[in-house]
Amino acid sequence: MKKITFLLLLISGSFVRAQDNIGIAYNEISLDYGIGLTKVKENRYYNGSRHTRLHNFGMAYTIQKERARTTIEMSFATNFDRGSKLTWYQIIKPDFTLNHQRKVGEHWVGAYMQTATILNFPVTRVGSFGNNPLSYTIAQNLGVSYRKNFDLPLIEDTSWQGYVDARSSLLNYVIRPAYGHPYPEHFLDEKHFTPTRRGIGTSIAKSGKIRTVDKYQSIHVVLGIRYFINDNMAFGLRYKFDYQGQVSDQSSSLSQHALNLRVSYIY
Amino acid sequence: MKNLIIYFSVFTVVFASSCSQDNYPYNDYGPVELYDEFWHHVNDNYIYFPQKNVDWDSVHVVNSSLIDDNSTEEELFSAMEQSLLSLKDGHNFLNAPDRMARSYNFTEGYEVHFDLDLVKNSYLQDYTVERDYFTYGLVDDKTLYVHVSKMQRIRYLRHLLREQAIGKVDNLIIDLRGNTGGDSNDIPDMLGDYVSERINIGAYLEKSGPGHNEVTDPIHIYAEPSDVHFDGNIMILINRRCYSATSYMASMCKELDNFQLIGQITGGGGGGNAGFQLSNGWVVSVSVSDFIDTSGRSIELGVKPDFIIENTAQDIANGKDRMLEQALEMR
Repeated sequence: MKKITFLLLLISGSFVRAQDNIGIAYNEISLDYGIGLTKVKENRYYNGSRHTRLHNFGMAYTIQKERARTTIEMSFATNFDRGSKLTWYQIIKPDFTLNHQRKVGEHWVGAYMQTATILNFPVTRVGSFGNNPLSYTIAQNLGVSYRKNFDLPLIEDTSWQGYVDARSSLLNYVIRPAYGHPYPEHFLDEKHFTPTRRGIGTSIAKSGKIRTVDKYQSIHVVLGIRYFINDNMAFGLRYKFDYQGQVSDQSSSLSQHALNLRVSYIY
Repeated sequence: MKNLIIYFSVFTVVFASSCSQDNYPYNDYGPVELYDEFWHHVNDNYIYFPQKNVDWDSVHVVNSSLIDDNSTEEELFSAMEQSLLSLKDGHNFLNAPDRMARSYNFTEGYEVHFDLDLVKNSYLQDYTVERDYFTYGLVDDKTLYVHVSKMQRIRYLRHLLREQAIGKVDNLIIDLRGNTGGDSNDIPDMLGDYVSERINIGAYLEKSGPGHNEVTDPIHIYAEPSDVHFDGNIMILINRRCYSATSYMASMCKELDNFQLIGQITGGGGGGNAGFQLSNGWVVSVSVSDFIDTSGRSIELGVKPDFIIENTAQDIANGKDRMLEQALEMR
């Protein structure tokens, strides 16, 4: 985290000529893929943290007007953590984000809401996870977002552009399994419980707890550069740092440093 | 171009600086710390400390004294294995990549004698069917016998009983002997075919925190009448090798008036187990849930039959299944 902050400060300090290279109003569709070096903590399954690489896929749709900018973003990360001969873990992380920002000077500042999910499945040949075959963190996040586009210092070619995106949640609705069990707490109430798991979806939705930033954090920082091939196409490289975590007796978190390639169509 | 290279270098350096580490070991835990990690996990999660009357602190004192910083993996594994065995729970496991700890033998001290071939050859009419985990056939025109070898595909068993028993025979013998468990989730629905009103058939308890007595309130479950109804006699045969989901079924059936449990006390096994990976990669798994009957008694130590009877080795050798014969007498 310190590395990222330092890097952002370094680059922020060199924003001499901030501008939007591609005009005032536009729509943009982007696709990206990359690899994330990921640190996963799931204290329901182990102490400490595990490291793995996640495949990151993303799709974003942006509507930018003169003073407002809205982005709908879907991302999906997954892979097997094969660190042990005995037990693997499959991580699946789908996120959906709606981000709306207004222009303040040369900066875009706004708010976002997000559904961020981490699914963690132990895959074992010893059949020891009968009562905890899945752990999950499903969070609805509300928070603030920031973006700034800038010309790359020292590069004269204005076809190149740099940008910083940052988001941090302030208020969250977080759903986690009950202690020692994959079912949510709501489902363990006699009024809702069924042995065949009928109605568990509703219980999952109702089992969340409001969490402020001291109990749950969701942080997302992107540092990107891109090159405009022409007025309609751009490709670029994005360094993305993601952190999602909750503090409790059975802590869970996922942080990843991902390097993604992004292709954009602008119209 | 030179400046672009600098930018790409910055990306690469930041990315590479967060490169992965080896997953094992997670930390530099030695044998003493690993035993403590194991002991604390069991202490915080095992549900049956109150019922088993085991002093887990004493288990720590005895077994941790066998471990020091120079202990070998075998010694550490053995200390953990002994600790788990002291809980006498067949749902507790300890696994390393190259070995598996001994499980608690819940049939120890019991004579368990059953031979399905004897039943097929000596008691059933000529035509018997074996499908998946189920062997069934008629004892006579009014009595259907079904042996269930594993608690799997219970929905299919329900369908099979609807097809073969309901409206066709007066007596049903469900033989669970030798069935060590599986999945009990569909059993309450199946029992709906044998009740005419909503009946409480027991309750689940789940661990709700690290304290030994931290469990949820009982989560009662019910058999709800379905669209069909069998009102004949139902005999359930059980023996000590019936474990886990099979004990669940025995306990649920015991709550119903038209069911008779015949045979030996079951092996118990009321817990559902949850796994945990120790910092050296070994996996320990302990019971974190329980099932209690309507009087509040856990099935962990076994479900007692309504009528106690056992086969001896000599009975089987003589071609006689006294448990089944008792069921036939009780029709």
